[in-house]
Amino acid sequence: MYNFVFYFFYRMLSRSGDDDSLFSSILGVFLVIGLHIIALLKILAHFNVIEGLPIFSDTYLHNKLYWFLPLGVILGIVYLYFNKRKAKRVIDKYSSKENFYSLGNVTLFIFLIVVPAIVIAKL
Amino acid sequence: MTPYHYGYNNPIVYKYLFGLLEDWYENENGEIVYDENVKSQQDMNDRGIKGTYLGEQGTAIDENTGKTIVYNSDGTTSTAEKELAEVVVTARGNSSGSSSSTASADWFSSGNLLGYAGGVQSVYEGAFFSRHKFDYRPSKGPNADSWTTVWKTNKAGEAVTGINASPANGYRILKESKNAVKKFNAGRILARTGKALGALGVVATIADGASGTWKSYHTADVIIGVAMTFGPVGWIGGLTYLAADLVTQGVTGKSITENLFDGNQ
Repeated sequence: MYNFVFYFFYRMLSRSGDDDSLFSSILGVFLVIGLHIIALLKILAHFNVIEGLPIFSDTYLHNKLYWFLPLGVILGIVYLYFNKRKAKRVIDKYSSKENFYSLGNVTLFIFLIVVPAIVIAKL
Repeated sequence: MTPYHYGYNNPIVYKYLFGLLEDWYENENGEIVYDENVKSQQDMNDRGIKGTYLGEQGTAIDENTGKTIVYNSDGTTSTAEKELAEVVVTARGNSSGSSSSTASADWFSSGNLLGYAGGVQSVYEGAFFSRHKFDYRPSKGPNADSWTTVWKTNKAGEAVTGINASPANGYRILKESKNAVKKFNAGRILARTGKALGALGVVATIADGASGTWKSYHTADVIIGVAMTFGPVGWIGGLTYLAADLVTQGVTGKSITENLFDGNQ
Protein backbone atom coordinates (compact mmCIF):
# COMPACT_ATOMS: atom_id res chain seq x y z
CA MET A 1 0.00 0.00 0.00
CA TYR A 2 2.75 2.43 0.93
CA ASN A 3 4.68 1.47 -2.19
CA PHE A 4 1.68 2.65 -4.15
CA VAL A 5 1.61 5.89 -2.17
CA PHE A 6 5.34 6.35 -2.78
CA TYR A 7 5.02 5.99 -6.52
CA PHE A 8 1.92 8.18 -6.59
CA PHE A 9 3.90 11.01 -5.00
CA TYR A 10 7.04 10.27 -7.04
CA ARG A 11 5.31 10.43 -10.37
CA MET A 12 3.30 13.50 -9.46
CA LEU A 13 6.28 15.39 -8.05
CA SER A 14 8.80 14.43 -10.73
CA ARG A 15 6.41 15.61 -13.42
CA SER A 16 5.80 18.84 -11.58
CA GLY A 17 9.50 19.63 -11.65
CA ASP A 18 10.53 18.72 -8.10
CA ASP A 19 14.30 18.32 -8.31
CA ASP A 20 14.39 15.96 -5.34
CA SER A 21 11.26 13.99 -5.98
CA LEU A 22 12.58 10.79 -4.40
CA PHE A 23 13.05 12.41 -1.01
CA SER A 24 9.81 14.37 -1.30
CA SER A 25 8.01 11.11 -2.07
CA ILE A 26 9.42 9.58 1.10
CA LEU A 27 8.06 12.55 3.03
CA GLY A 28 4.71 12.02 1.33
CA VAL A 29 4.66 8.43 2.51
CA PHE A 30 5.62 9.61 5.99
CA LEU A 31 2.69 12.05 6.04
CA VAL A 32 0.25 9.30 5.09
CA ILE A 33 1.74 6.89 7.65
CA GLY A 34 1.54 9.65 10.27
CA LEU A 35 -2.13 10.17 9.48
CA HIS A 36 -2.77 6.46 9.77
CA ILE A 37 -0.95 6.16 13.10
CA ILE A 38 -2.83 9.11 14.61
CA ALA A 39 -6.12 7.74 13.30
CA LEU A 40 -5.28 4.37 14.84
CA LEU A 41 -4.49 6.01 18.18
CA LYS A 42 -7.79 7.89 18.02
CA ILE A 43 -9.66 4.63 17.37
CA LEU A 44 -7.88 2.96 20.28
CA ALA A 45 -8.70 5.92 22.49
CA HIS A 46 -12.32 5.85 21.33
CA PHE A 47 -12.64 2.26 22.48
CA ASN A 48 -10.79 3.05 25.72
CA VAL A 49 -7.83 0.85 24.89
CA ILE A 50 -5.62 3.83 25.59
CA GLU A 51 -6.40 7.06 27.41
CA GLY A 52 -5.76 9.27 24.42
CA LEU A 53 -3.00 10.79 22.40
CA PRO A 54 -0.09 11.80 24.59
CA ILE A 55 0.19 15.46 25.53
CA PHE A 56 3.79 16.30 26.32
CA SER A 57 3.29 19.98 27.10
CA ASP A 58 0.47 22.46 27.54
CA THR A 59 2.22 24.85 25.20
CA TYR A 60 1.25 24.24 21.59
CA LEU A 61 4.68 24.71 20.02
CA HIS A 62 6.47 22.79 22.75
CA ASN A 63 4.04 19.91 22.41
CA LYS A 64 4.71 19.85 18.69
CA LEU A 65 8.45 19.81 19.22
CA TYR A 66 8.14 16.89 21.64
CA TRP A 67 6.18 15.05 18.96
CA PHE A 68 9.15 15.54 16.63
CA LEU A 69 11.11 12.91 18.56
CA PRO A 70 8.93 9.81 17.98
CA LEU A 71 7.89 11.08 14.57
CA GLY A 72 11.53 11.61 13.65
CA VAL A 73 12.21 7.96 14.39
CA ILE A 74 9.34 6.93 12.14
CA LEU A 75 10.57 9.25 9.41
CA GLY A 76 14.02 7.70 9.70
CA ILE A 77 12.59 4.22 9.32
CA VAL A 78 10.59 5.25 6.27
CA TYR A 79 13.69 6.92 4.80
CA LEU A 80 15.79 3.82 5.30
CA TYR A 81 13.04 1.56 3.98
CA PHE A 82 12.77 3.44 0.70
CA ASN A 83 16.46 3.20 -0.06
CA LYS A 84 17.75 3.44 -3.59
CA ARG A 85 17.25 -0.22 -4.39
CA LYS A 86 13.77 -0.33 -2.96
CA ALA A 87 12.79 2.92 -4.64
CA LYS A 88 14.03 1.64 -7.98
CA ARG A 89 12.09 -1.59 -7.60
CA VAL A 90 8.91 0.29 -6.76
CA ILE A 91 9.38 2.73 -9.63
CA ASP A 92 10.12 -0.08 -12.07
CA LYS A 93 7.08 -1.99 -10.90
CA TYR A 94 4.57 0.81 -11.25
CA SER A 95 6.07 2.66 -14.20
CA SER A 96 5.41 -0.34 -16.41
CA LYS A 97 1.69 -0.06 -15.76
CA GLU A 98 -0.30 1.99 -18.19
CA ASN A 99 -2.64 4.72 -17.04
CA PHE A 100 -1.40 4.84 -13.48
CA TYR A 101 -3.57 7.84 -12.69
CA SER A 102 -6.75 5.91 -13.37
CA LEU A 103 -9.94 6.78 -11.57
CA GLY A 104 -9.49 3.76 -9.34
CA ASN A 105 -5.93 4.64 -8.31
CA VAL A 106 -6.75 8.30 -7.67
CA THR A 107 -9.77 7.27 -5.63
CA LEU A 108 -7.63 4.84 -3.63
CA PHE A 109 -5.07 7.55 -2.94
CA ILE A 110 -7.72 10.01 -1.75
CA PHE A 111 -9.32 7.24 0.29
CA LEU A 112 -6.03 6.57 2.08
CA ILE A 113 -5.85 10.21 3.16
CA VAL A 114 -9.47 11.24 3.62
CA VAL A 115 -10.67 8.28 5.68
CA PRO A 116 -8.06 8.64 8.43
CA ALA A 117 -8.59 12.40 8.37
CA ILE A 118 -12.30 11.87 8.98
CA VAL A 119 -11.53 9.40 11.76
CA ILE A 120 -9.25 11.96 13.42
CA ALA A 121 -11.81 14.74 13.08
CA LYS A 122 -14.88 12.83 14.19
CA LEU A 123 -13.69 10.52 16.95
CA MET B 1 23.59 2.55 -37.76
CA THR B 2 26.34 0.45 -36.24
CA PRO B 3 25.97 -3.02 -34.74
CA TYR B 4 26.15 -1.31 -31.36
CA HIS B 5 23.48 1.27 -31.89
CA TYR B 6 21.44 -0.36 -29.12
CA GLY B 7 24.32 0.40 -26.75
CA TYR B 8 24.28 4.08 -27.67
CA ASN B 9 27.25 3.38 -29.95
CA ASN B 10 29.32 2.94 -26.86
CA PRO B 11 30.44 -0.63 -26.33
CA ILE B 12 33.23 0.44 -24.02
CA VAL B 13 30.98 1.87 -21.35
CA TYR B 14 28.17 -0.56 -22.01
CA LYS B 15 30.17 -3.65 -21.51
CA TYR B 16 28.68 -4.77 -18.23
CA LEU B 17 25.02 -4.56 -18.87
CA PHE B 18 23.75 -7.01 -16.30
CA GLY B 19 20.53 -5.12 -15.79
CA LEU B 20 21.86 -3.30 -12.72
CA LEU B 21 22.71 -0.01 -14.30
CA GLU B 22 21.44 3.37 -13.12
CA ASP B 23 22.50 6.74 -11.81
CA TRP B 24 25.50 7.72 -13.97
CA TYR B 25 25.00 9.79 -17.05
CA GLU B 26 27.13 11.48 -19.64
CA ASN B 27 26.37 15.15 -19.90
CA GLU B 28 26.50 17.25 -23.02
CA ASN B 29 30.18 18.02 -22.42
CA GLY B 30 31.08 14.35 -22.45
CA GLU B 31 31.64 14.21 -18.69
CA ILE B 32 30.44 11.27 -16.65
CA VAL B 33 28.31 12.66 -13.84
CA TYR B 34 26.66 10.95 -10.90
CA ASP B 35 23.20 11.98 -9.77
CA GLU B 36 21.25 9.76 -7.43
CA ASN B 37 17.99 11.23 -8.64
CA VAL B 38 18.60 10.11 -12.18
CA LYS B 39 17.55 6.54 -12.70
CA SER B 40 16.64 6.48 -16.34
CA GLN B 41 16.82 8.46 -19.54
CA GLN B 42 13.22 9.41 -18.84
CA ASP B 43 14.27 11.00 -15.52
CA MET B 44 16.85 13.08 -17.38
CA ASN B 45 14.31 14.14 -19.97
CA ASP B 46 11.80 15.06 -17.27
CA ARG B 47 14.39 17.23 -15.51
CA GLY B 48 15.68 18.80 -18.68
CA ILE B 49 19.16 17.30 -18.26
CA LYS B 50 20.94 16.98 -21.56
CA GLY B 51 23.01 13.88 -22.05
CA THR B 52 22.88 10.14 -22.17
CA TYR B 53 21.86 7.96 -19.28
CA LEU B 54 24.55 5.35 -18.61
CA GLY B 55 23.69 3.34 -15.56
CA GLU B 56 24.26 2.68 -11.88
CA GLN B 57 27.70 1.25 -12.42
CA GLY B 58 30.00 0.59 -15.27
CA THR B 59 33.50 0.93 -16.53
CA ALA B 60 35.49 3.00 -18.94
CA ILE B 61 39.07 3.37 -19.97
CA ASP B 62 41.31 6.13 -18.70
CA GLU B 63 42.83 7.33 -21.90
CA ASN B 64 45.95 8.64 -20.18
CA THR B 65 46.85 5.65 -18.05
CA GLY B 66 45.20 2.80 -19.88
CA LYS B 67 43.68 1.64 -16.62
CA THR B 68 40.10 0.65 -16.15
CA ILE B 69 37.89 3.18 -14.36
CA VAL B 70 35.09 1.64 -12.37
CA TYR B 71 32.06 3.84 -11.80
CA ASN B 72 30.57 2.48 -8.61
CA SER B 73 26.91 2.43 -7.67
CA ASP B 74 27.51 4.67 -4.64
CA GLY B 75 28.70 7.53 -6.84
CA THR B 76 32.41 7.02 -6.35
CA THR B 77 34.98 5.90 -8.85
CA SER B 78 37.89 3.57 -8.50
CA THR B 79 40.63 2.43 -10.76
CA ALA B 80 41.05 -1.21 -11.51
CA GLU B 81 44.42 -2.66 -10.61
CA LYS B 82 45.21 -4.26 -13.89
CA GLU B 83 46.09 -2.41 -17.00
CA LEU B 84 44.84 -3.65 -20.25
CA ALA B 85 47.22 -6.01 -21.86
CA GLU B 86 47.79 -6.91 -25.43
CA VAL B 87 44.87 -8.75 -26.79
CA VAL B 88 44.89 -12.20 -28.22
CA VAL B 89 41.50 -13.73 -28.62
CA THR B 90 41.58 -17.41 -27.99
CA ALA B 91 38.56 -17.96 -25.78
CA ARG B 92 34.85 -17.83 -25.85
CA GLY B 93 32.20 -17.20 -23.23
CA ASN B 94 28.67 -18.23 -22.49
CA SER B 95 25.78 -16.14 -21.26
CA SER B 96 25.70 -17.40 -17.69
CA GLY B 97 28.51 -15.22 -16.46
CA SER B 98 31.15 -17.89 -16.45
CA SER B 99 33.60 -18.52 -19.17
CA SER B 100 34.62 -21.50 -21.13
CA SER B 101 37.48 -21.83 -23.46
CA THR B 102 38.02 -23.73 -26.61
CA ALA B 103 41.63 -22.87 -27.21
CA SER B 104 43.04 -21.89 -23.85
CA ALA B 105 41.70 -20.47 -20.61
CA ASP B 106 42.69 -16.94 -21.36
CA TRP B 107 39.95 -14.92 -19.81
CA PHE B 108 37.51 -15.13 -16.98
CA SER B 109 34.94 -13.06 -15.20
CA SER B 110 34.69 -12.51 -11.49
CA GLY B 111 31.59 -10.70 -10.39
CA ASN B 112 31.39 -7.45 -12.21
CA LEU B 113 35.08 -7.16 -12.91
CA LEU B 114 37.05 -9.13 -15.38
CA GLY B 115 40.39 -10.67 -14.97
CA TYR B 116 42.85 -11.98 -17.43
CA ALA B 117 45.62 -14.49 -17.59
CA GLY B 118 48.37 -15.26 -19.98
CA GLY B 119 48.64 -11.71 -21.19
CA VAL B 120 45.16 -11.76 -22.59
CA GLN B 121 42.42 -9.28 -21.83
CA SER B 122 39.04 -10.18 -23.14
CA VAL B 123 35.72 -8.98 -21.96
CA TYR B 124 32.69 -11.05 -21.38
CA GLU B 125 29.57 -9.05 -21.89
CA GLY B 126 26.86 -10.96 -20.08
CA ALA B 127 23.47 -11.91 -21.40
CA PHE B 128 22.64 -8.63 -23.09
CA PHE B 129 25.77 -8.71 -25.17
CA SER B 130 26.03 -12.44 -25.27
CA ARG B 131 26.79 -12.45 -28.95
CA HIS B 132 29.63 -10.00 -28.64
CA LYS B 133 32.72 -9.57 -26.63
CA PHE B 134 35.19 -6.74 -26.74
CA ASP B 135 38.92 -6.72 -26.78
CA TYR B 136 40.67 -3.44 -26.57
CA ARG B 137 43.74 -1.48 -25.67
CA PRO B 138 44.03 2.21 -24.90
CA SER B 139 44.91 4.64 -27.58
CA LYS B 140 47.21 6.59 -25.22
CA GLY B 141 49.51 5.76 -22.37
CA PRO B 142 51.91 2.86 -21.94
CA ASN B 143 50.15 0.78 -24.55
CA ALA B 144 49.50 3.60 -26.97
CA ASP B 145 48.90 3.02 -30.63
CA SER B 146 47.67 -0.46 -30.03
CA TRP B 147 44.54 -1.67 -31.59
CA THR B 148 41.00 -1.91 -30.34
CA THR B 149 38.85 -4.65 -31.62
CA VAL B 150 35.30 -5.72 -31.09
CA TRP B 151 34.90 -9.37 -31.75
CA LYS B 152 31.58 -10.56 -32.95
CA THR B 153 30.69 -14.04 -31.91
CA ASN B 154 28.11 -16.49 -33.02
CA LYS B 155 25.38 -17.79 -30.72
CA ALA B 156 27.77 -20.34 -29.31
CA GLY B 157 30.11 -17.55 -28.27
CA GLU B 158 32.73 -18.43 -30.82
CA ALA B 159 34.60 -15.49 -32.28
CA VAL B 160 33.79 -15.30 -35.93
CA THR B 161 34.95 -11.87 -36.98
CA GLY B 162 36.61 -8.78 -35.63
CA ILE B 163 35.75 -5.15 -36.23
CA ASN B 164 38.21 -2.36 -35.85
CA ALA B 165 36.51 -0.43 -33.06
CA SER B 166 38.94 2.43 -32.91
CA PRO B 167 37.73 5.93 -32.01
CA ALA B 168 38.11 6.81 -35.66
CA ASN B 169 35.36 4.35 -36.40
CA GLY B 170 33.03 5.82 -33.86
CA TYR B 171 33.99 3.77 -30.81
CA ARG B 172 35.01 6.06 -28.03
CA ILE B 173 37.39 5.52 -25.16
CA LEU B 174 36.22 7.82 -22.44
CA LYS B 175 38.41 10.05 -20.38
CA GLU B 176 38.00 9.94 -16.67
CA SER B 177 35.79 12.80 -15.68
CA LYS B 178 36.81 15.22 -12.99
CA ASN B 179 33.16 15.35 -12.07
CA ALA B 180 32.92 11.62 -11.59
CA VAL B 181 32.69 11.82 -7.86
CA LYS B 182 29.69 12.01 -5.64
CA LYS B 183 29.15 15.66 -5.00
CA PHE B 184 28.62 16.96 -1.50
CA ASN B 185 25.69 19.21 -1.96
CA ALA B 186 25.10 21.41 1.07
CA GLY B 187 22.14 23.07 -0.62
CA ARG B 188 20.36 19.81 -1.06
CA ILE B 189 21.00 18.77 2.54
CA LEU B 190 19.51 22.05 3.77
CA ALA B 191 16.59 21.68 1.39
CA ARG B 192 15.95 18.18 2.66
CA THR B 193 16.20 19.39 6.25
CA GLY B 194 13.62 22.10 5.56
CA LYS B 195 11.32 19.64 3.84
CA ALA B 196 11.67 17.06 6.60
CA LEU B 197 10.90 19.67 9.26
CA GLY B 198 7.86 20.68 7.25
CA ALA B 199 6.60 17.10 7.11
CA LEU B 200 7.33 16.52 10.78
CA GLY B 201 5.53 19.76 11.59
CA VAL B 202 2.44 18.67 9.68
CA VAL B 203 2.13 15.34 11.47
CA ALA B 204 3.00 16.88 14.85
CA THR B 205 0.34 19.54 14.31
CA ILE B 206 -2.23 16.89 13.44
CA ALA B 207 -1.22 14.94 16.55
CA ASP B 208 -1.58 18.05 18.70
CA GLY B 209 -4.95 18.88 17.18
CA ALA B 210 -6.15 15.32 17.56
CA SER B 211 -5.17 15.22 21.22
CA GLY B 212 -7.36 18.21 22.05
CA THR B 213 -9.56 20.59 20.17
CA TRP B 214 -8.80 21.35 16.54
CA LYS B 215 -8.32 25.08 16.10
CA SER B 216 -7.65 27.47 13.30
CA TYR B 217 -3.93 27.60 13.98
CA HIS B 218 -3.74 23.84 13.47
CA THR B 219 -5.20 24.27 10.00
CA ALA B 220 -2.85 27.14 9.26
CA ASP B 221 0.20 25.17 10.38
CA VAL B 222 -0.81 22.11 8.34
CA ILE B 223 -1.12 24.27 5.23
CA ILE B 224 2.23 25.94 5.92
CA GLY B 225 3.89 22.58 6.59
CA VAL B 226 2.59 21.05 3.37
CA ALA B 227 3.81 24.10 1.47
CA MET B 228 7.24 23.67 3.06
CA THR B 229 7.34 19.99 2.13
CA PHE B 230 6.00 19.97 -1.40
CA GLY B 231 5.44 23.53 -2.42
CA PRO B 232 7.48 26.48 -3.54
CA VAL B 233 8.28 27.72 -0.03
CA GLY B 234 11.53 25.80 0.09
CA TRP B 235 14.01 25.28 2.85
CA ILE B 236 14.86 28.95 3.33
CA GLY B 237 11.25 29.81 4.05
CA GLY B 238 10.80 26.65 6.09
CA LEU B 239 13.75 27.08 8.39
CA THR B 240 13.13 30.82 8.70
CA TYR B 241 9.55 30.13 9.71
CA LEU B 242 10.62 27.60 12.33
CA ALA B 243 13.14 30.03 13.79
CA ALA B 244 10.58 32.84 13.78
CA ASP B 245 8.05 30.55 15.41
CA LEU B 246 10.44 29.70 18.23
CA VAL B 247 11.27 33.37 18.79
CA THR B 248 7.61 34.34 18.77
CA GLN B 249 6.86 31.54 21.21
CA GLY B 250 9.58 32.79 23.50
CA VAL B 251 8.44 36.41 23.39
CA THR B 252 4.66 36.08 23.38
CA GLY B 253 4.12 32.60 24.80
CA LYS B 254 2.27 31.59 21.67
CA SER B 255 3.25 30.46 18.21
CA ILE B 256 2.86 32.66 15.15
CA THR B 257 -0.33 31.01 13.98
CA GLU B 258 -1.80 31.07 17.49
CA ASN B 259 -1.24 34.80 17.58
CA LEU B 260 -2.64 35.27 14.10
CA PHE B 261 -5.70 33.03 14.17
CA ASP B 262 -6.58 32.23 17.76
CA GLY B 263 -5.08 35.06 19.71
CA ASN B 264 -7.94 35.40 22.14
CA GLN B 265 -8.52 31.75 22.84
